[in-house]
Amino acid sequence: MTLPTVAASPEALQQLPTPARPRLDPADVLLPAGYRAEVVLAGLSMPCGMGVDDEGTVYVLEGGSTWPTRPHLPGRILRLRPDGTLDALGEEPLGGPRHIALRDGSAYVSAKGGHQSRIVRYDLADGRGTTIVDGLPDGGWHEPGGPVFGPDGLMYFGQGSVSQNGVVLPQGYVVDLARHQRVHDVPGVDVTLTGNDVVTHDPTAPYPFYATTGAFKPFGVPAEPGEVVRGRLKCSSGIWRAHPDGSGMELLAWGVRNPYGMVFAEDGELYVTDNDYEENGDRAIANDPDRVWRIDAARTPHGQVGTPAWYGFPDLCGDGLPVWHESHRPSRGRPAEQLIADPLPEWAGPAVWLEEPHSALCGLDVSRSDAFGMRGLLFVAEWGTLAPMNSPRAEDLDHGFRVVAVDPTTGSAEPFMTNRHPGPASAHRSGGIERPVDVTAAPDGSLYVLDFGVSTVDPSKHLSYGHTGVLWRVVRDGSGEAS
Amino acid sequence: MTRTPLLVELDEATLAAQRQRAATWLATLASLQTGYRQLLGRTVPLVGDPQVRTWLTELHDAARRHEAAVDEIAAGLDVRPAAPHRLTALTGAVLGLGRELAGQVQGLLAGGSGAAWRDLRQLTLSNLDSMSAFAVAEQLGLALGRPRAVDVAFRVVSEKSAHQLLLREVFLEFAADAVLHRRDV
Repeated sequence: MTLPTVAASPEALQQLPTPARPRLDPADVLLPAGYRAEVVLAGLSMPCGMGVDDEGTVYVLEGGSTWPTRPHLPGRILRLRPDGTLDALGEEPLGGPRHIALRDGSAYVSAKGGHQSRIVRYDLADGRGTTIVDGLPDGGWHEPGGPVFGPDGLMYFGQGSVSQNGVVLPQGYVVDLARHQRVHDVPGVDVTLTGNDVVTHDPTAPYPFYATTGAFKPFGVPAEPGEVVRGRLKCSSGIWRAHPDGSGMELLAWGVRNPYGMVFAEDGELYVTDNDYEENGDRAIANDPDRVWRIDAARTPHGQVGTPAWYGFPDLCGDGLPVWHESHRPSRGRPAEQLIADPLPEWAGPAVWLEEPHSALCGLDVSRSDAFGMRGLLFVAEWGTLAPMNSPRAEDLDHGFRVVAVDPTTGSAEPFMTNRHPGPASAHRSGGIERPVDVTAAPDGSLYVLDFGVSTVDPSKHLSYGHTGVLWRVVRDGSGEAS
Repeated sequence: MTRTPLLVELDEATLAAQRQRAATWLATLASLQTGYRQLLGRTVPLVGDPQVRTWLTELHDAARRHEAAVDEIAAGLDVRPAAPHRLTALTGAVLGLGRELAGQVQGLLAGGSGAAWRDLRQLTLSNLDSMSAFAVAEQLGLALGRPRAVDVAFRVVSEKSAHQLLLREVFLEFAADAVLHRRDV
């Protein structure tokens, strides 16, 4: 089905029919000298991921139910061909599509689903979809990662945690409790619990009755001290690989809280973005950095990963310190206690790179082009903070809302694509970027940046607006360089 | 190569069609809110308890404000309400009357004797219905990228959510009196 589009002049971009995002102006986007941004698509609804094939066709995934879940808009897999026609390859039901990998005439799409995430393989010729991986635990909060294909031809993918901070609690969106009443985290290996249950109120009850909940348990179900929870292949917070038909699924790692972005760099390493804990509620954790992990187990031959590597969720922060460490003690909410009894699994860190808390690292890609430059650097989309909702700290209010270039060999980073002022463009009535959600290095040597659109947060509400998403393209043409 | 920017589903034909559908919903919203306000107006004089009467009077005042907010939402969505207000009010009155009659019958069948208490039951349903209609308008504002409509609808839904708690509380608080002791509010 072809979608209605209209070509936009620069003047039309200054007068969009969406008051939430009334204008777009590439001149308001700051890039290093020699680079220039342009608008490719505007009016997208909650886009979450994208891909570009060798012929230059761009695929953009509109997310369906996103952050927050309302309003749901069609979770479409859009296809922009080089001749400018735009159609929908397919559509995923409630939950919506998140990421796409293109290979051998097929599109591999991760979809959030209802209670469980899955991977669907679409035939690019006829649009038919076949589910090849299903049943990944999903509580509505954290996201699928990947799929991406490794140099070994295998498909790598992830799934974030069910709970925000290690125990299913009502401090996220109450709708998550309503929609997913029996979901819970699942460990990747057998764990023994401390029984440090969390007592909170039950917003699903007629009165604010108390509810006691344990780790790896549904809301309102306590855990016993010394109780053993069995690890499962299809755990939460996991990273897996499988053959392209979904067979031979192997768990590489677990304890990755929200592995939204995944990429294989030219060095053959698998890099994964991950988001920090929230500083609110009855298991609050402060100052946890966002991070990029290198998944070393991806180098192990297929089928030979014995014990999956552990990256810390639900008891360690991105810096390797326990969540109950003094440096992570919250200024709002109840401090976190240990959930998994000693000895904790061996930590697979440190991270390749640590970023400020609540930057909300999302999709990433690597520059493979000498023409584009910065070859080998990871370009990471920072969706931006949800403070004051998830952090009471003033310094967290501006974190994110940009694309950074990370050198995985040194652990350093530089801003690459930003607004003139920190924060989203709408906060300053500029025509710049709102919330970058994904980055794709195209075969033609350009860099596509997908912008989720306007998503506002204040102490009482979080609202996201349809038709405010934008696909940007960054090219290196010598703009602004001294002659 | 520079691509020409494309606007997705922001062409005038698509937007006009969506605005028309939104206007139709706002007509439904207006009728539901009018019916709720009218039912409140008829219930207040039936209530004997002075505190409950004060509460319902306050809700009635708020209901008038919320009824007027539909026009603000329409302006925020850049639509004109699909039907004139007089017709909308009439529709609301008919809906309110139908709901009231159903409530009387159902309340009597359930054993409640007092007219005010039976109205309270209907008010919980009517407020929930109209509140949900405002919440739908909020979703339309979000989907169409129109914050002004969202701000108004969100504020109304917040107030009506609190009103819903109060209506349910009063309805249940007097339930045993009405059913077992044949008394009214």
